[in-house]
Amino acid sequence: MMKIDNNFKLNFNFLELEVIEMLDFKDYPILTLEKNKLGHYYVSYLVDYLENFENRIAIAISPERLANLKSGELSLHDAFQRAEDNSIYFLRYDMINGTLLETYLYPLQDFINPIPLDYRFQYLISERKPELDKKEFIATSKKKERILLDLYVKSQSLINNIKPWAIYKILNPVVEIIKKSLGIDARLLDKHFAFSNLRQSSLGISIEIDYEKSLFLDLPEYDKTNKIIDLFNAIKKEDFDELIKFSKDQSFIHSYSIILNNIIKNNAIFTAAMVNPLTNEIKESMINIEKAKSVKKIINENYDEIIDDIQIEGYFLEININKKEPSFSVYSQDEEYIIKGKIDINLIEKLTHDKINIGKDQYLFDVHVIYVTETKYKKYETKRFLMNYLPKSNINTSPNSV
Amino acid sequence: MYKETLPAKCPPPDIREYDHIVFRIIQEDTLKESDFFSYAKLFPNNIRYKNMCDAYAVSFFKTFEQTIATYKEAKIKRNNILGKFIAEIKLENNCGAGKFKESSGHYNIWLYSQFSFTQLIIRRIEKIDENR
Repeated sequence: MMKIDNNFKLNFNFLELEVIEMLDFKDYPILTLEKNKLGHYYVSYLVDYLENFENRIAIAISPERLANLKSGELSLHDAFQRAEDNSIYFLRYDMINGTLLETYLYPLQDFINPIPLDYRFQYLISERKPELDKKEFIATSKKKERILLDLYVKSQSLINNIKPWAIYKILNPVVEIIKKSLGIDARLLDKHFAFSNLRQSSLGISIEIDYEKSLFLDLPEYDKTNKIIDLFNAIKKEDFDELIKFSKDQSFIHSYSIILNNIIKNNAIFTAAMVNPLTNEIKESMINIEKAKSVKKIINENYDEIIDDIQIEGYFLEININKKEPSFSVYSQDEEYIIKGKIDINLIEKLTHDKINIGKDQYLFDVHVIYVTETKYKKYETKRFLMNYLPKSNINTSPNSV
Repeated sequence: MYKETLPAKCPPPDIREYDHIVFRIIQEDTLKESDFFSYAKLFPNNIRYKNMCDAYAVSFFKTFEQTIATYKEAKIKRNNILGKFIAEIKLENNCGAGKFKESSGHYNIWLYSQFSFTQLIIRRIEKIDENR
């Protein structure tokens, strides 16, 4: 019970607060978010009920601090202990009708904090789909003459800022899937792709995809890329089998597994919408933790190993054929990273006879990739096998070939 | 569909039904209708919470320990208004729909109009041991 000091009692009740959100409610309103007439936020904590009075303490709070509080980075105890305007309100309400009866204004140095140090509340982000302004979405797509894919990731950990997992483990795999479906060379990514409409406070972003203009309503790029929404809506093995029929390989399942794992890990809600600028067709999908878990189970049961054959342009960094399991490493110029793996046994003889200028000669490498799906008991694993290589000077490649 | 007339946009769209064993703090050693009254039902004229959706929901807990922890916290605040018994009951799909917070084990359930405490399967009712 908080000791009331009449020295701090105000003669008038000037705070006209309206409860706008229950931050912690367990049969009674423990923690509320309130707003005054000027739109300033206050958090209000229930101290006790006494003789038909509802006694609460409240502080004014900035939107930034409120975001910290909701994300759990700031405890409620500390929020009051370090109140931004150095004062704390003690408010006495009529429990029956909710009228504010008395207001006390405590300077911070005279405030004895009644909030337990370990008091935490779990702020649940709403699973409500963010409202997509369909007219605006279509209009933007038409104006830019690009297919638009809008992504939105909501999570407790994204309330305050965008965390790397949302970029690397959600956005990057999405780009990988689109890249694969369109067969876009990594070097031409800037020509075909653009990002726009970045929204913070959870991650929202639009991906703009270029398409070849034609006189007809057919849009092959859309036909290929909108399959990504079918993938996000897939809920049974047959849905995945159907998608595999349209795909050159199964590597999209690996990328999708990464997305699903991170939805589960971060208790995120992921929504996607795609618009065809010629027909105005919009396709939408939403994945929450429950859906992610059930889809991940289907993937784990049916696609524990995902096989992909890729071609990499680059040069050798290392060849070791004297080991029990001969190994290689090459630098990929497309992706600008080093790829390591094992050498297929049938390639050893060729490697022994060829004069290879390590670090200089350009080649086109055929690499067989096996992605081992992550489960509860084993981590992701990517196994790579060098199957063949051809000097680049012998090949006439078009920039779009993959 | 719901027991009470709910404010606009209430309940939220992401609620679901639960078929779970749950715990609830109750007044006496037998269940009564008033044990399942929401805050809004108890204080219908309170203007502060009239439009708050949560005020129309009823709390349940996943474990006995989580219920005790809430009781201890609530005891300070509610000054013995709260009951001294915990009922372990089976919440079924036709009781209502709501949300569950894993970290606190707390269910917030908006009861359906056909809900009656008499339909509940009671597994046990235990007096709260203050020293526990």
